[in-house]
Amino acid sequence: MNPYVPVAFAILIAIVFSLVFVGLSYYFGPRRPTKTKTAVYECGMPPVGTTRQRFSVKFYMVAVLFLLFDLEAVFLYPWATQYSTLLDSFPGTFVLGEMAVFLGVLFIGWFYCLKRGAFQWD
Amino acid sequence: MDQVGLYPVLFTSALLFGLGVTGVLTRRNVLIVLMSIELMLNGVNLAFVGFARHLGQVDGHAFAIFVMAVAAAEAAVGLALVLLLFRHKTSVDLETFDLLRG
Amino acid sequence: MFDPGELNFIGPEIAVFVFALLVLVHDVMFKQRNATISMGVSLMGLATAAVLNLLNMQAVDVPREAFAGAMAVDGFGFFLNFIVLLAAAGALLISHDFLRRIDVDVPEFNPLVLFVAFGMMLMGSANDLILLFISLEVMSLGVYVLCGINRGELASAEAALKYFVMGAFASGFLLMGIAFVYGGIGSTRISAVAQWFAIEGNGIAGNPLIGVGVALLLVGFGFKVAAAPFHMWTPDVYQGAPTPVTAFMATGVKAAAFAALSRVLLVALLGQNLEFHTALWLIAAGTILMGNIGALVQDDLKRMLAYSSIGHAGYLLMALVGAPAAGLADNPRLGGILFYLLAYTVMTVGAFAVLSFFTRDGVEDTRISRLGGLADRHPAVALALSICLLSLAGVPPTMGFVGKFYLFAAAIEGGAIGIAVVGAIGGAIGIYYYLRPIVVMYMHPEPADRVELAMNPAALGVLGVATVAVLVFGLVPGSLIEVAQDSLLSLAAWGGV
Repeated sequence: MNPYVPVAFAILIAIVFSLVFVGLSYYFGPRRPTKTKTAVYECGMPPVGTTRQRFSVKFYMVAVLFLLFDLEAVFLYPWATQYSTLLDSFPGTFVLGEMAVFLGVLFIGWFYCLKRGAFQWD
Repeated sequence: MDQVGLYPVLFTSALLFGLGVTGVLTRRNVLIVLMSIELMLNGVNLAFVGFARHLGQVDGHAFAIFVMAVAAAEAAVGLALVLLLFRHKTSVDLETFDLLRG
Repeated sequence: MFDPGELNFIGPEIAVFVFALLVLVHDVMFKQRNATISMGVSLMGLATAAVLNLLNMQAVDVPREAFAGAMAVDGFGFFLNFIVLLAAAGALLISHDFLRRIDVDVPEFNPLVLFVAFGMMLMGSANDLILLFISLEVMSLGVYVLCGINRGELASAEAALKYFVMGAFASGFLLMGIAFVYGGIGSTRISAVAQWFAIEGNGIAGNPLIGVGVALLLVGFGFKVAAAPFHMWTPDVYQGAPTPVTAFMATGVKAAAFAALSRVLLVALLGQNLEFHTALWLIAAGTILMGNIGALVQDDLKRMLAYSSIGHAGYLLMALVGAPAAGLADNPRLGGILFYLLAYTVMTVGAFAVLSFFTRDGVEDTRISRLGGLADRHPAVALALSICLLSLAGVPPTMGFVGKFYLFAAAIEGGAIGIAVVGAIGGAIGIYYYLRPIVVMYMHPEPADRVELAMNPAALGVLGVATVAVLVFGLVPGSLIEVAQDSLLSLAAWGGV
């Protein structure tokens, strides 16, 4: 079998799923069209405010937290891909336990952020 | 497989690193300085990966991952500090931070 | 194959880390955190680590590798761990009342100090340049935040940002150096680098990749230990940071960075030091002179101590200039480096404990003129501060004198007479500026707008212990010097020479 067939399947599934969800929301979502909403976008509207608007500090907080927790995942990939190889030379509890310790520390970090109110938008 | 030799990789890495150093030394905007520091670290990452390929080892690739994690942590702390100073000064210009002078 | 028994070797590190997590969870768990419990648990963590470290020290006679060579288990690391634990305990005790006074009530402080200590301890025993880099970052990132912990104060935030920019810049250089060494040698193990150099025909000369790598490493370390010409950030950062944090930076950060530098120079590059001897000589001389001359004109005691800390880094570099190419055993006086790091930690923490008393409406005021009349009001505090300052100046019979003596001896025995002369000039300048605050304390009248000193038992305890230690180990340094020398000589086990 061509090795790209699974890739094609993945793409197909992605397209189907997204179409299904868009369709579902189109079918079930409430629609109350008003005149402004249905109006076609027109050029030449007087701009409201400046384009160099300062946005809230909250966005930075989210960005920083995302950056940190997202990047920790980078350590999961090598571990996950080499899991069976690692089992050849290390006991299973150790291989699993090491990642558990890592995630445990990460969890405490998450708990700290939660308690300090870093996840609260307001 | 090995179409790219070590030297083009090292050259690019040195270029990135040099751009980063120049940016840190010449720019006054803290945010750009932060970006330049990231550029330096990315230059190093490229060097690590290039050397690892050249030596046929995996170690260098692993180092690159470590460096990425450290760089992210550094960026987080740096951004937080910039925000902190921005609240005091409403500016990101390094020259305005002149309270402590020798 | 991984041996769980090896975990014992990082027992102290694990203890500090676990306690840091405990304190962190405790501190954020409750609306109104109990500062005393937090402090108590933090100190307990440091004490546990110290006990584990002592046990390791007794259990390990012969230096050995652990974790597939990433860590070196040797006396050098154990000794540094003690210095770090002392510095952290000192900083925590000074901070207890100080933070309340400057109105900083954050749950992060104690855990951060422990995390930073964790990084420092790993730095001292890292046998792998990558582990060294990561532990250095664990330390540095924590210290950046600690510098800016007084969020309401512009100076604190500014110091933090300056330190961050300089520190991150330096890390970049250090890391590039590591990458080049890795590329040239194929390993980042410090001992492997030493073994590579030991092979006939391998050297810095003729290997531009490694030459550039070593140069970049030296630049990176130069920033971290505040050696000239990379010292410009030090006075600003030390002055702007809250006093307990400055105390921690001047002692712990300096000791850890210097230990890592020493390990790289004395293990990996020992046989090669002729290649960059001149560079090291110039850096050491510049550091001694810049630090001591800069300190002369300061009116702020905290800033003066910052400059003087640059000078002290210079003395330590001076001893490294005298490192023998033939092998460490040729110059056992190099043990003075570890002894001096310990002595410097003790006396500096003592001096900063007194500095922490000088706050005015929640703002620090550490001008030297504020010391006026201190001898009349609080003779014991004035005496203790004088002893710490005299020790920093290197006046006998103090710990500082003994340490400095060994540093000079190491340089002279290593044949580096020239740098010893520069060091002596620096020391002479030092005596002048260290005497100035003492003269103000004893001769000058109180400033008209005097404020009560914010004395508190914890910081007074630190001051007392530091002063007694400075005197006791100044009078009978014998056994401690021996331990320091043995610890440094344990590095010889790694050398390829």
